[in-house]
Amino acid sequence: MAFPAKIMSLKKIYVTIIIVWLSFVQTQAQENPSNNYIPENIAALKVYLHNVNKARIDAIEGKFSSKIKKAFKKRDEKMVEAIEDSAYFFSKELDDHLSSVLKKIYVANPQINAEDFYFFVRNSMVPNAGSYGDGTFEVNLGLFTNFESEDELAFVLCHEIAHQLLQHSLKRVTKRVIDLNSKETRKKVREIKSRRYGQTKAGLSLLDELNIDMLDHSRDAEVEADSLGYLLFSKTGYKKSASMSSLLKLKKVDDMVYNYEVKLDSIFNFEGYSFKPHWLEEEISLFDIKEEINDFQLSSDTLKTHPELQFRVDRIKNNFKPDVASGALTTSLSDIHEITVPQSVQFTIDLKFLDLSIYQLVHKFNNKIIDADYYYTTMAKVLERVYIAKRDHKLGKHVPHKNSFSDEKVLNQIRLFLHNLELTEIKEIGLAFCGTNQSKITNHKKFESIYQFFKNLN
Amino acid sequence: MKKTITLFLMLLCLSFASAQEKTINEITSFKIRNSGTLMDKTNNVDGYYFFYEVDKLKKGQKEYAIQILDNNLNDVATKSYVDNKNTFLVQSKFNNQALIFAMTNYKEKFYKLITFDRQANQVENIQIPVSKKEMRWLNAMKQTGNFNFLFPVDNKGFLFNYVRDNSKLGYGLKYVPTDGGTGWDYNSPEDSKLIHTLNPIEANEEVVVALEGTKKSLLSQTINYKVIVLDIKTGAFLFESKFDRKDNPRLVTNAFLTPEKNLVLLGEYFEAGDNIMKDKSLGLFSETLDLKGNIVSDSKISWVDKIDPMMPAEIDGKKKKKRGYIYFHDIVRTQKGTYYAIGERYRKTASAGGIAAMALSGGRSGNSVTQLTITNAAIFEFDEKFNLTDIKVFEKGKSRAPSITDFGSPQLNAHVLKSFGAFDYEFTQLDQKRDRFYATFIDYERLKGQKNKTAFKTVMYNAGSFSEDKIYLQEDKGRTQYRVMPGKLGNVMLLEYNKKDKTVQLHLEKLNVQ
Repeated sequence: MAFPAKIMSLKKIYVTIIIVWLSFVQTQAQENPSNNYIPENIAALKVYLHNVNKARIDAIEGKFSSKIKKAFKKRDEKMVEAIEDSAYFFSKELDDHLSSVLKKIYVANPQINAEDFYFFVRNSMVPNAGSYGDGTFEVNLGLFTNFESEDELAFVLCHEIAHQLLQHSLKRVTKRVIDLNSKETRKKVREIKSRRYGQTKAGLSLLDELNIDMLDHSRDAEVEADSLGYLLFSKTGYKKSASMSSLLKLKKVDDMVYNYEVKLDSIFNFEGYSFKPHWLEEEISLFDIKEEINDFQLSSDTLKTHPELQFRVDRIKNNFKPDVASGALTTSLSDIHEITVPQSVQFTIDLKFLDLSIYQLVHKFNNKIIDADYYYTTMAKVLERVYIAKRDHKLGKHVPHKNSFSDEKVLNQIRLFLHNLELTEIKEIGLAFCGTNQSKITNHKKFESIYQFFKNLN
Repeated sequence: MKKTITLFLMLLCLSFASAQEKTINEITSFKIRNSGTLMDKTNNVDGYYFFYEVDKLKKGQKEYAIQILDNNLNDVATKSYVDNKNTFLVQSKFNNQALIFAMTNYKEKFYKLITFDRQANQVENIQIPVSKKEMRWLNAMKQTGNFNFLFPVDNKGFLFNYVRDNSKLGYGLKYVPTDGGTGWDYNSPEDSKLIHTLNPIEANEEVVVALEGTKKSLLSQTINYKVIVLDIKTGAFLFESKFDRKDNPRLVTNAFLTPEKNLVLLGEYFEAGDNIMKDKSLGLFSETLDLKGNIVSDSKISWVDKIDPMMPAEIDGKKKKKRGYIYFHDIVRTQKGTYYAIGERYRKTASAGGIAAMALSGGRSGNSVTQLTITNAAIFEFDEKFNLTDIKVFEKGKSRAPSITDFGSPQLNAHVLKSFGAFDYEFTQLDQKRDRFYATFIDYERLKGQKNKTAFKTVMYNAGSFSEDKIYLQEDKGRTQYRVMPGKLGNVMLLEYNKKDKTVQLHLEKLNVQ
């Protein structure tokens, strides 16, 4: 592996933050978070984020260093803002599970200095993960819920750690700053500014050129992280074939995401209160077009930041030839799923993304991921929240309206349905839903209180 | 939440604030010129537009961008548009077949009408020469808020109404078809000794109904109105219904075509010789005409005989107030043929501030010592024969507007103050399909023991009954402030301003019918 020099330079940074980090980790272990979104040790977390970012900034040297430092300035504050906006999920149990997977990676790869690493779990259904380049990482809830095996999760974690070890974040920013301040770019900007006519179009063309170059660099970095990630992963003892199966699974999810059919006219059709066709009625649109028209769209806007997943799978297959014949993956994520599956529904309710709540509940119930008690009680809760959001004129703030150009066809239908419903209708639906499904659940306490809420309204 | 499968992303939470980045931002940014709402004649919002200046081009040209959002606030199209550097986008409308933009050019002196078809292709440019004087007048009339510059004719075309500088000021009405029909022009006589103005109030697949006003001079306080009816296919004059000051002064506020193709005119009637802008009306009227101009029926409801006995008294403290005046903002017709007139009660009262200012200045203050006190909303219900069946009063807090003049009548002041937006009424949206309407007001709530609150109040008619909905315009001790604007049918657009974060969020919310 060709990265010990980089690790050495990183070590210098780590020394400065290790004391704070240790105190932070200890605090995290001792304290029981008051809720799952804002941890009680947020003060220590702020100090940690400030210090890792400061350490990174202090280590930046060379040409344009002040400009690069400026780019990272206040990044820690933005992270804190995200925490305060409930973007992350804090759970000791989930941290413990994640730590056990990470521990296997670290033990197998002792060159990784992980003392200042911190993995945040983001409240997002999208199966994704990320590395901020200062030791902080993000893993979306969607990644946990979409993977079945610890092996697959471990490969993605190795990929993210590879980004960190290869300093991709810093390199990306450095490249951006160098590109922007290069003689060539400066000359082009001067030429554009001196133009009497067509300045903006010429400026957009230059921006496009710079963006395309950045995207090429970004795609190269992904391939590089796949390679180093695979090397780290191959030492862990997890099944090497998981490197390919994880990517293939993500490809499948990418094609499937938000496309599970949700039959609203059957779920919300009740004996005493039938589904009304106008709940899914659409309005005439301004234009009869299939996709948004933008005469000013840059070609870089249409390019992907990442190479195609199939290309990445083929590359791993050809370069590393992982043994796919070693049998099916045996490790399970069932313990993690016990935490992440309900949380991936819960955060959508807490953050009032109620369209996503309905989608997930139906998808998970029909696929037997959640049981009847959870489904009926939580769906009743979602209907209660829809009623409250509508009553307070806040539903549109959290649930977007239908977008004809979106490929989220099922979500579009749910959004259309939720926004077309009137307050009196959601009241009736809530009552009918509870009345119809009361007999299907065994744990009545929570359900009954929601049923009573709708009874009182009606 | 967008579908963003960007796997294994390298996260960058950065602010590139370098001088070079700023320069690039500067040379690539679009400068906003103005924005507006695509609203149809029932005040249903079809979408929103933003007009940007992109680039200077050779020969006095500029590249503009017209960004169009649908009624769900989604970006639909951003079109490039090249025109003269003095071009300004005035208004836009949608008629289910096409989108039209009216542009003005002050320097080059023309109006331009640009239409886009359903595939968002620019299909037509119509240029109409105009003088500076005409344009100035058009702007002045547009500012009154009651002037229909562009009027959509659903599934047929658009009407463009403009001012013409004849021997005296006149009007031009241009019809732009979008259904393959023929365009036409209908103009006021060029040699007329009178000032003519026109305001289209209804247009459909059969006819155009417009209110024509004539007066001798700009300063003349006498204005005569007549309703003119034109054939939508040819622009041919069909008939007119005169409401002269001398014989039959009437103020027409609304017009409808019934399923039987009769024309119904609604408004207030006056005593012969009265000035409709200054004098107190005698009552409300509904006149039905066939499409040959014959009067089918003419119903009048007098304030004194019919309305006053039914009008609930207004209590101010312990005092019982007289009826005062009612300013009617709109009259709507339901599917079953009944009518609802939407108004606000107002009175002329003494202004404490104005009197104090007058006393302090020794009588030289320019302030009015009188004011209009605007109180509750009132909705009058009429049956299909225009018999008054009920008056519903909806409480809202008082608001006050200083009189324009202490010597004019309250009616004259009300008409002028209406054009300045002094009334609390916002707009009425009509849902013809579901037979509903939404009348909206600003309510200044004064509750005992509580801080005053300002709210956006909606009075809704649905299936024969009324309900109210309220959106408070401040939250979290003023940290969050709202502005409410028209949205698609049955919805409003909330502009939510967070004072602390200095962020603005737009969202559409459904009005709650009970």
